Amino acid sequence: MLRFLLTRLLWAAPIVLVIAVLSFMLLHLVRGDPVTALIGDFPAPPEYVARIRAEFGLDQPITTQLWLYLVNLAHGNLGFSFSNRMPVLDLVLMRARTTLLLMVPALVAASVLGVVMALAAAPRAGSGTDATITGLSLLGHSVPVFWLAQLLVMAFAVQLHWMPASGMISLRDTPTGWAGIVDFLWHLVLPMTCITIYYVAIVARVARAAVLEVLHRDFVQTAMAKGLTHRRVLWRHILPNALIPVVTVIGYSFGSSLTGAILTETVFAWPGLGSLFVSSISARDYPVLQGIFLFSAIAVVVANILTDLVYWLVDPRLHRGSRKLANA
Amino acid sequence: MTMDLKRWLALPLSLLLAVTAYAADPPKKGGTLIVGNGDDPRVLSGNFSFQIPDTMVGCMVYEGLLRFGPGFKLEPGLAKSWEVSPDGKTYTMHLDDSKWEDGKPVTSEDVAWSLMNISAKYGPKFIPAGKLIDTIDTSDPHTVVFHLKQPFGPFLFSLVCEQNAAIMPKHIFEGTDILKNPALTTKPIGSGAFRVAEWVPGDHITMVRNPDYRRAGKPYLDKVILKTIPDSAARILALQAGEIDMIEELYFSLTYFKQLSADKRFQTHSVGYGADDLVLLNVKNAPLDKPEVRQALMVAIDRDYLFKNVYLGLGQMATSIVDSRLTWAHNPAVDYNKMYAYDPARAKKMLDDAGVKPGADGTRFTIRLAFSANRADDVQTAQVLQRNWQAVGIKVVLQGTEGNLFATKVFGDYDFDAAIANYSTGGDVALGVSRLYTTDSIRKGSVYVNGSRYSNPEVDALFDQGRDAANQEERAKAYFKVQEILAKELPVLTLHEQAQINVASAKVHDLFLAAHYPWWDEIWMQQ
Amino acid sequence: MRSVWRRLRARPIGLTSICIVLLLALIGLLAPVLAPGDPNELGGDVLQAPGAAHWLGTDDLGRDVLASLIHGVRVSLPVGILSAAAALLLGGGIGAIAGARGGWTDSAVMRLSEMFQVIPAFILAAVISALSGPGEWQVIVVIAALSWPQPARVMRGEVIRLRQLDHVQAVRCLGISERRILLGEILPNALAPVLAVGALIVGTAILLEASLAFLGLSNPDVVSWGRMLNAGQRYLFQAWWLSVFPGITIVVTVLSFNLGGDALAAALDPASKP
Repeated sequence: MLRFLLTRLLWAAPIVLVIAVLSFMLLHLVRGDPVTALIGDFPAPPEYVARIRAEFGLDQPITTQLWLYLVNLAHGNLGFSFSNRMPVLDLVLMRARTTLLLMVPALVAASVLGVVMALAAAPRAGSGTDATITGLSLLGHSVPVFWLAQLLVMAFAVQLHWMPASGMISLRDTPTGWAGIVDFLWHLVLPMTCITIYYVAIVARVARAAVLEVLHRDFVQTAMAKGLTHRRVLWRHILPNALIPVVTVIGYSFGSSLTGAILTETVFAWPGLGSLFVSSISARDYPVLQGIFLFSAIAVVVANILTDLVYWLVDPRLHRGSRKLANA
Repeated sequence: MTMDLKRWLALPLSLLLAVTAYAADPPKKGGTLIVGNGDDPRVLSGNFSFQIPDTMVGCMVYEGLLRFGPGFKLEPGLAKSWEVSPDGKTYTMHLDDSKWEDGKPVTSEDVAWSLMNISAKYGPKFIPAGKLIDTIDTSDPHTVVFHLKQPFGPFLFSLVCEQNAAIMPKHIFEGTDILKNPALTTKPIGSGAFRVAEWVPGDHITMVRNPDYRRAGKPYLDKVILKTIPDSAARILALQAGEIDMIEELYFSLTYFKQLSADKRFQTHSVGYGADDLVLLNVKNAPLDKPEVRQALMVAIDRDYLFKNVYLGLGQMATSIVDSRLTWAHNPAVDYNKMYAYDPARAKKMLDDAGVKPGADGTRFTIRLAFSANRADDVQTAQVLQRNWQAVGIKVVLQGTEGNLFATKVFGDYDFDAAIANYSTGGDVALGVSRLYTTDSIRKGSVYVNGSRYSNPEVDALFDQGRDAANQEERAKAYFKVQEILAKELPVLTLHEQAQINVASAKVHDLFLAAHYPWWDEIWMQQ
Repeated sequence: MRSVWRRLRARPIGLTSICIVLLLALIGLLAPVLAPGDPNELGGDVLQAPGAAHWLGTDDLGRDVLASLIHGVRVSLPVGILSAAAALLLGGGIGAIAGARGGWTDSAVMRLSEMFQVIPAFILAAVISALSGPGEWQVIVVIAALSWPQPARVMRGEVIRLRQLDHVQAVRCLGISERRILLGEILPNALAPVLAVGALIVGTAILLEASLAFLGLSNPDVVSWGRMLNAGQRYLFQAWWLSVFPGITIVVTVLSFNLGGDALAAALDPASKP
């Protein structure tokens, strides 16, 4: 087990390093520089431009910049964001936290909903109900997120006034304490819906396959024949088996979900990593872009390792003489 | 001309009516105004760039000596009154009683220090004025006397905060690494009507009333919150849902104007220096080096179609290189609508006469049309121009790229034949439109200057005269003449004077007392 | 073949989806006939609501929405299909080799695929489009380069599973070479789930193109559904048809690929019912 963990971690390090170098080269090989982005559409005197470039070390050759970047990276210094005026590491962590506040509830909701749909669909596999449920879940996976987001806002925020149109909290008379939490949750509903809808499909598909597989296993048939109630069978045998691949797929999806947040955050003005990414592109804030790349990559690697771990720990088939198999 | 006059008068007249209507209600104290911006400011000072969030928020914190009133009239800011010497070289400013947030008074030392050490070094708009300052007399803490090396027409204009002339406290910034000083970002020590209470990067900035503000009883508002909503549709939706109260012109997509202006819950105002939509022509690439060809391009453009569909009937089509909103400098005798009325047949003849005849496949020559793909208006303009020019036998290749790439392509590499761009008038001919035409504005790598690389000594001389003349009449004479010349030379096709409109909830009062940013201390909200 | 058809008939929703996909392909091929004239041709009827003259309305420069949607098929469908095809070929090939060889090759491939999966696709595509110019090829290359791990894993899993099956062992005993077994026995049976993954990738590619257009990072000269959505945002209140119809088109297309792919996979799989 330990060996397994170590091997994975050992592989993670070079992956992250390669990502770091690749992202640096990619960003710097292209045209347009941050000073121009900072200045906007007005002519700045050359001395002014030169001064700003020197401030940010942009006048040194690329190899020097890359070396400095890697050295700083080793010390945990991800650079300084000149458009946000704070260290990149702090900025990325702060925004990542905000994105997680959105993604985690969304993914949890997607898991729950997906499993529920799978439990409804699998026993009726091949029937119209099954097809309908599967179709519905895939519908969520086929919709452009930003389009859906705008439609939802128009319907629920502008026309019906049931939900807020944007942001994380109410800015006018910001409530505190419990009311503040409720306010946050109220702001969470629409953006979360957009993300959940997308991931329900993946979860439902995987959960359905898992439930189907378990339903046909001999011991389940035996258990039913023995007279065990549906509910016991469900909770003791089916759900745990369905949950494993669900956790796996959610874990693996975690990485893509970070970038999936980009579009939702943009439409809902949710101040997370996604909107930071978009604003940093136009600002040509390279340190931030690199920081986001790196963070995403590391997050995915960590999520993958954790998921593998959970899978390894929980999957009954990997345990010799597991209690679960014997229980009936 | 009368038609246009009516249109331009309509807005101020309705403004006047609105003012008188509102003047009936006395201002109420209290309330929170929420402004929806598209980005965060980078620093909380108006001295370092011309991006809107920076200058807008920065000028709330660190003010300037003067501020803009209606029609860009100069009004008192930190300075309560001023005198100009007859030779135009000495400016005496008398300071009002203001305090910094830490309690220390705002003195002439602060003015001199921050203008010469920050504005003159970092403020692109102030630099021309800064270069001409010889000495500043600060013997009296309440009086600042500027001695210029030569007269400079727009000097007072340059002392407004938005012109990168914010006054910052010497005792906080002197001797420090200015760009990394927390008083620039997290802990500002300003003199303005509002103080920063909280800045959540990428989300919002909360500003609260300054209880020690120099104007008694003001500001009326308790708080001003600047919320960042990057997506333009989301901003409008937030305004409609009542979550924000105001959107600045840069962040307001005019396609929503019709709907919002008809909605009684909202009010709209024309604001801003004025900016123009134009097409730079690369005069070093044949056959664009011939003025006749450039004129033909102008004649081939369907101005009415552009105006109605791309510009939504807002603003007006340009008649000259100088925006008509700069009334004293605009030459009414020059009228593109008459000189270059839409006439494809005439355009074809002009091209034939210039020796640019169609080849075997019907194409006379090819134009690579560059534009910024993030600006929806420019994308539409490009598509219209393509159709118009193809109709007279010119093949047009559309090259739309992302904003920064566009700037590099056009101003760094001169890799274009025609480029659609938007130039701010800067509020004054010497600060704005001259950079499109003078020889010393040809600076490879400097964005938004003379990208056409047009060079004409007569034009250079006239622009210099316009800038250096002692009074406005003299300046106007020079500018009138240069407009006549450039109307025929046309290195740049000035198409349209943009409508810069800001929109706000009808509950916000006294929002439009200035030509540019609001006078924040005068705003009040209906509860 | 007949059993495949029978299984398809048993899944009406899936069958309909496949038909829709084929219909779209047909529309794409026949676009110049169905919607004659240049789709970029500017017209005088600006922002017309859906009506007799223009069934789905017109946009801000007078272009017919239906015609634009039809021509958009020629952008979105090829982008989707080419991306998926490239990912399938690349991933399928690599996955088959990994599954067949096993051992060191297998581990190396798995780690490599992980590295590619770690790179966020959208971020890469957005950065490339923003910094080096927009284009459809950017989307295809990015999708192919970053999606190949999915079909690779599936293919690998299938190859490993199928190799152990009794009848394959039997064939092996007969002395047939591994390569022939792979090509003749295993791959045809592994096709089904891999195809299903491919269909999903098509959907991902189409949605990615739309998302890039939303951020303004696509080629403005090309009529694509994503571009239409991006332009339609500015007229949310006055011209709902500019946002609704392209959005619905995208949903229907992607959904059809997803459902169709599922159904096709089930139909091709000899182990599925009926």
